[in-house]
Amino acid sequence: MKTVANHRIVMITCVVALLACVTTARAAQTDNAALLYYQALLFYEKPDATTEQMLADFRAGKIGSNEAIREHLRKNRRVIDHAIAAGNLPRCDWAFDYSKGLDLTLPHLPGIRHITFLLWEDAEVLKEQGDYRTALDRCISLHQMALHAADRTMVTFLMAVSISSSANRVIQDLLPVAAADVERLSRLKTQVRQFQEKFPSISYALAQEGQTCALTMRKEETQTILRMMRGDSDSPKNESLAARISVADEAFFERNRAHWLNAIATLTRTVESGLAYAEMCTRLDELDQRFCDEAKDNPDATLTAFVLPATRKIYQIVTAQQTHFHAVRTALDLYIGRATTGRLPDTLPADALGDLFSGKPFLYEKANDRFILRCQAKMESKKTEANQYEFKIKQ
Amino acid sequence: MRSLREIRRFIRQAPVESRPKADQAVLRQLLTEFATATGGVSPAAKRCDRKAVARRWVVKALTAAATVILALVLVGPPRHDMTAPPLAANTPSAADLLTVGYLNAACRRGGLEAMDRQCEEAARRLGTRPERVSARELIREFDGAPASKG
Repeated sequence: MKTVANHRIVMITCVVALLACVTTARAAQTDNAALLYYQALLFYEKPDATTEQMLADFRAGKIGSNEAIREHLRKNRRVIDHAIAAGNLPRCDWAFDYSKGLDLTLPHLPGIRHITFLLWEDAEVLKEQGDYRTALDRCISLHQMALHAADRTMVTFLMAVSISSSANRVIQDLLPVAAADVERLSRLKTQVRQFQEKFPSISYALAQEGQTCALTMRKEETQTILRMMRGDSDSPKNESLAARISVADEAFFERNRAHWLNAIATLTRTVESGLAYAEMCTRLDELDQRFCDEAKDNPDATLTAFVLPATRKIYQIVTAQQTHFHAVRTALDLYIGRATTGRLPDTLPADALGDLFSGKPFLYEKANDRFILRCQAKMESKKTEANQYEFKIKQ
Repeated sequence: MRSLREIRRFIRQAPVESRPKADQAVLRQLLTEFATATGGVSPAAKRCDRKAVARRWVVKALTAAATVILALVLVGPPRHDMTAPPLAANTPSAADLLTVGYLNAACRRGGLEAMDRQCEEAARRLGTRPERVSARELIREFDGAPASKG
């Protein structure tokens, strides 16, 4: 009896020790996605110029994969693995010192672009191999990375827009291969909706940008501002503006800060006003012109004119991204309908999401081997035609 | 073997002819030929001349080398400029290109594409890929020995 009791005690001790080890190991794993992205960036192996061009052509769908492309992905497998692991973590703290304002450096941005391309290329190769499920997982990783990258500046917000647009583009490319898998398509539809809902709004990005720039509008930062004015070929190079800043006192900066925050508030209100796309573009152009002109005579508007973001351009980019989300979600409905009934619906569902350029439903054109969702208004008047999204049908 | 006395006697009795005129002519001819062959300088004088010429050449060569080195040090380009072209005074650094201010400016100029190009330019100049470091190299560094690459 004593021996049996001793065995039990030994067994229990071993189990407790094992559990303790597992718990410690879990605790040691980071919950901060940024740390994994930073590690991924350190592993990145840059392709030579020829392979780089080949990869660009591959992403554009001009060529299929080849040994050089697959070798590039093999070399960067750890980068991909780290990015996937990072995407699964909810928290992402890049540990930036936001108090630096305009002088804040974002050293991760080039690397984030490289990871975006890697995940994209990996998804395309997986598609070629028929593994559309893993390929779609890469798109999810891209969307997760977009949310992580968005952070608190306008620049990172735009980078996030670019990543999520890439993710939607790859999904668009993968859907014909996954068209029969109703379960996966339904899950993907939910995931895409969630990513769109979680994506920060342009007004949030503007408000954050307002705070970031305001931190630089201080007398101690005079040299930083002047350095950036010299380095920016499009900034007001007017000597009188630079002279105004170089001799400015703290009161000048305080008044400029107030002017800037007012300008940001006006822009934020405008983008939230619900104006139609064309009217919004006109209104944002007017505001941009007004703020820049004001600086000529009003010293308090000097810094606003210098740091004012290209709000109309940003608004157009974001509208295109959101419309692309709508097109992918609408297409998912159509693919699911086809997988269920055996044929594409003749019309779009009544509750189908629309094109945000016109505020109307997409124009739906279907053929045997594809369908097209066309916007009813152009993104820019000088463009020859409106945006359209083509989805292929695999027979 | 002959005795010493016998040898002396032999020398005393040996026939010796003296023809002063013929001897002078032979001697004059020999001196003329010797002067022609040696340039009129004695072997000792010749050795001294060679040393002097060599010294002059060494001094000249050393002076030329010193002048060239001095010129390189004073007016030649600094070492780092030999590998990279000098940047203009107002050219932003790679780190500058990745600041919010410069990226915002790029976005104002050309949207996302301009921002992307700026990021690429910064990445190209920074060279983000680290070199491989082995444990052996680190241990060598701790021991004070120079670490070799590889």
